[in-house]
Amino acid sequence: MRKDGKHIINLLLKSWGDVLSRKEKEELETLLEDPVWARLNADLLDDNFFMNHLREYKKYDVSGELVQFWNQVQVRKRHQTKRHVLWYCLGGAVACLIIFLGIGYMFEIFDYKVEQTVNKITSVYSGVSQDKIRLVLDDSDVINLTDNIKSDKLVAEGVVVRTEFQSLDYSCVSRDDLGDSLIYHTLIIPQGEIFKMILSDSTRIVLNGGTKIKYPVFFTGLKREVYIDGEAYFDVKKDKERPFIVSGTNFSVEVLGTSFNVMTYGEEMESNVTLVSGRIKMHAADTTLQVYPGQQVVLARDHEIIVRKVDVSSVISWLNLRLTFKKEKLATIMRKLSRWYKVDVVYKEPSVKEALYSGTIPYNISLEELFVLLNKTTNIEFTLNDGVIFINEKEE
Amino acid sequence: MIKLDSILKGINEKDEKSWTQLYTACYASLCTYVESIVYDMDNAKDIVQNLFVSIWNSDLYFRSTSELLSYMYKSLYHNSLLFMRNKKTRENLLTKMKQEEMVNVEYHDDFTLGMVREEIIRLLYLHIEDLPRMRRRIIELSINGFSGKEIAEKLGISVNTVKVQKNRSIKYLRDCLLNSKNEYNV
Repeated sequence: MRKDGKHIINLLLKSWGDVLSRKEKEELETLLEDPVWARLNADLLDDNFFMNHLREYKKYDVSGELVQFWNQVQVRKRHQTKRHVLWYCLGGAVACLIIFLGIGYMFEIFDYKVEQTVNKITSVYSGVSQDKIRLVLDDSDVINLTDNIKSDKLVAEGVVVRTEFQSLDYSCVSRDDLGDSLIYHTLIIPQGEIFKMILSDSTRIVLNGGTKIKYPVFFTGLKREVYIDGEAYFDVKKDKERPFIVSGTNFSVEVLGTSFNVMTYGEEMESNVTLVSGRIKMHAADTTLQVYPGQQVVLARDHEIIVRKVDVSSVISWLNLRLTFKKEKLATIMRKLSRWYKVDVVYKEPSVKEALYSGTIPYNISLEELFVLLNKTTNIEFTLNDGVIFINEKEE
Repeated sequence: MIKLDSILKGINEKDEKSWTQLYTACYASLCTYVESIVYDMDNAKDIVQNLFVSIWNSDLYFRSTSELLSYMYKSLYHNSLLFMRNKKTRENLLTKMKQEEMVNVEYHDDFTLGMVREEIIRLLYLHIEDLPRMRRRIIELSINGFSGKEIAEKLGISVNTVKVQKNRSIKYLRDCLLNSKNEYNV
């Protein structure tokens, strides 16, 4: 006799809740006359059987196998739905080359020696407006870096603003300047700006717009820890004795020396950490994960953790003044664009938010130019009015 | 707990997030199911991985989650038997005739029994995340092989409390399963 599994599961569950109809009761009794089924029923009601069975599940490394799965299917993925419109794309090989050259170049210029002829900033600004790059000192004084970046300057003992590279350099801070105390500075980057910094241990960080980072002026003690809200690319100086730790709101990343990207904007539904090279350990909720180059760890608000294989060059494309999307929701893309162009977004037709798009946008084109491009290549109409983007579906 | 119903659309449309959820919810239980037929963990992993890959690469459309699950169990059962038969063929040089016999395999009790066992336990398992924090810790530690005494030490509670809470947790899981909608009680 052929038995229907779905029906039997239904019968068994109902019998636990004692809600079987008379007919169902008879069916179940007939089934349980078979000793094999009677045994299974008894097993399922036995707590020890259940716990032992779950121990079997634990033998399998689900997240590791999931990464393997994505590796296997990514190669022959052919189910791109028709809604994916290519916006603006450079050839893949060329794009990669530019990105990697770009990073190399960016860090090469960091290696210049700091000139000693710098002027000390005497006046400290308080109440600096939010659209400036702001440095908050330990004693809560705020320095407006945007207006002080026209020439190299000393903003605090050993801390230099470097005009040429739009960066703040702590590598000249010496321990003697500070004694043993840990003094923290906070750097706040407004929407639409990118800023770079070098910490006292020579770790380099590139900060994306809308990012806030808190860090000690000089690292003392057994670990190097910084706190971040926003997006940043880290190139951590190797130091096996003192791990480098990046803390977000609900996770931390532990590094010995490596490069990776952290995205943890408060307004985004998820945070993610992408490893470019080296090895990092990620701590979130109750778990610790080893992350390998090319992998991205995604932390959703509901504490769900996903490890996936990503195209690293597209994740860090913002470093190269370009924005790349791969099958992302329009709503996510527009949040990124609004951070860059400092505009608000209004959807006249909310259903378009879920549509997926791929493409690349150069950072250096104007919003008007971008809209000409988008209106041509998508089925969505973008209009700009008084700093607000209105999004609507095109009428046929 | 992940409701497969809510991600069915995403599964059919090959949405990566939905697939990640499907994989997370089913991988370990499907492997355990296959392992009970092929008696080998590595081969079980391969058979299950191949199934996920083949569904991803196919144009299959599932109208309901029970249809999807039933397809997965049937395929796995079939592929496991084929695997065993091929293994045997290699070992005993069985004729091709017999292999073809296996292709028309009947889904007898053996298949249904295994599926019922695995699905009920899988559904219970997925409710663990709905447990209150302390009970969840106890169950998870226990699954990870810690003894009652070790759990008591780790959490700073008495061995008896661990025992009582563990029993209550499992009862809670059963209650959750009875009171929430799933693929089988619709």
